[in-house]
Amino acid sequence: MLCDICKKNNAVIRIQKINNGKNVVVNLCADCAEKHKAHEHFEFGDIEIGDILDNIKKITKNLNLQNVFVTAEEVEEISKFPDDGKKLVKCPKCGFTLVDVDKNSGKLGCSECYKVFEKEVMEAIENIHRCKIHVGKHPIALRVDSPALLKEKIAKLEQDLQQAVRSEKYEQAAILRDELNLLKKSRIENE
Amino acid sequence: MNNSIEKLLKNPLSFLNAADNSNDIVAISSRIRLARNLQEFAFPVAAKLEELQEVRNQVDDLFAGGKISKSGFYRFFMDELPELDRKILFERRLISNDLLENVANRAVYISANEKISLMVNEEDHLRIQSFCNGFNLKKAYKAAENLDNKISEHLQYAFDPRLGYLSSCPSNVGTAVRASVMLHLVGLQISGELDSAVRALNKLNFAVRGVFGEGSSNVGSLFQISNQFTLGCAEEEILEKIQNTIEQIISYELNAREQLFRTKQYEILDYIGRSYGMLKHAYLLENKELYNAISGVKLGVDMGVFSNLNIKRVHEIFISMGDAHLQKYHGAPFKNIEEKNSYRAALVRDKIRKGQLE
Repeated sequence: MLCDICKKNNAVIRIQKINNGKNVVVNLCADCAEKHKAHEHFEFGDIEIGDILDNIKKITKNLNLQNVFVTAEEVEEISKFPDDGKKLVKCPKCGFTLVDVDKNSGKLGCSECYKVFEKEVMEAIENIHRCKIHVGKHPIALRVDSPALLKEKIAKLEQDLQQAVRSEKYEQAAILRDELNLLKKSRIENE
Repeated sequence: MNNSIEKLLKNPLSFLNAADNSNDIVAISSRIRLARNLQEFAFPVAAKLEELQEVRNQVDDLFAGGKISKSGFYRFFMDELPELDRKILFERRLISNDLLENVANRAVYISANEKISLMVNEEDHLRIQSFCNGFNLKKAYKAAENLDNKISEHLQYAFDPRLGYLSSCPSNVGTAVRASVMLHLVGLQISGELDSAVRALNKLNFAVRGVFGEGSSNVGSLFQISNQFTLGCAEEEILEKIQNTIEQIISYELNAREQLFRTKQYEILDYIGRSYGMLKHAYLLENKELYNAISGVKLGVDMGVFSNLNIKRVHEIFISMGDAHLQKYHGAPFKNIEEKNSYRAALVRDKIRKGQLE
């Protein structure tokens, strides 16, 4: 990853802030960090957390980023996952991060987490169940005429499949085609 | 609603006397578990205390208001129940280890015949468990589905049309149905074929656990076999798959027993005889020893060696002689392990002497 300022050297420091759901990320190389006097206050590989805040505020002020700052906890977390700042994305409903999910043996915090961490969750689901779609019953309150709901699902999947083929995402298209076949099979069985 | 453990103990295990499947000898019981969450609140692992309180209140309103069932359900709030009583519920398999260890905002509702138990705020907001004597997953499922449908008329579940019922752990997502059957596989165990049967089951995506649940080593040749897949199949399909698999295992077990009787008759009779002897004459009995002895006696009853013993009475002992049950009968904590084990042995000797196993 190249430094965001000089765009020449490899970045060694990452600063990330989640602001109203938007990720703001800055990657700095050693030279640029030195230019902004970051190195006087911490050592790479053995981060001195206490003095970082002031210094980072100075750096980001120079970089003209509004309200970017990192708490001591967030820096500690980033230093654990240097290549994946995604681990700090928080679910807006329950506040869980992927780190929390890990800590709780893979349990998610709420129904919203299924959307927030969709990529990771679907990966886990495919590993465990070897498929990605529910063909069982629906709760009474959400139940519509089964044939109609099935028809809707099938139509949506066909749309997604066409889109995937058009954009040449053939692997995804294959997965969608398999799901479509499953649903069509259950439609035949229900009729 | 009935809230007392004492009352529960007075009507012990009425489901064991139910008429269903009294001819099943390898399958002891069948269980269906449904996991459900309420859409409004975070799952128990992330929820604030107030949220869990609200979940418990909403569920309680349903039962108190008679919306769920006219006939009596026992209700126990875990934080109001002494540890001994929680252990009793655990020994009767009515609550899981989670509700035994953690009490805040957790509750359980148990039907009068102990065939249904609904846990509140376990790993998911609602865990419906339905039991049946012997091998009858369909019947157990119908009862669970009934309760599930009633609840979902009043409370909104966390549900996604694509992924199904949303559970806290992605391993339960979809139908969130776990079907399990408890099998007495003494034949396969003695003949040494159990390991390969377990491996084959694992390959088919079934989990095999000892009778005391996850991580327990086998005791009394009792094993729980359950499905690990909950997504991609309709509920009926899951039941059918596990039904077919269990039928096969049962037939392997019966074959193994028959084979043993043909080729190692005296060894087996000796094993059965010594097991009965231990029950009749031991003065110290650990829980594990009791289970193992019962296993041998049950084999004797199954094979017609003890034609006078009643299999239901034998099954009762499986459930009612745990440490917590003993302490309840005794009325006070035991001074030491020896006192407890001698009390257990005395109870069993007494039962046999009075012909209560017949």
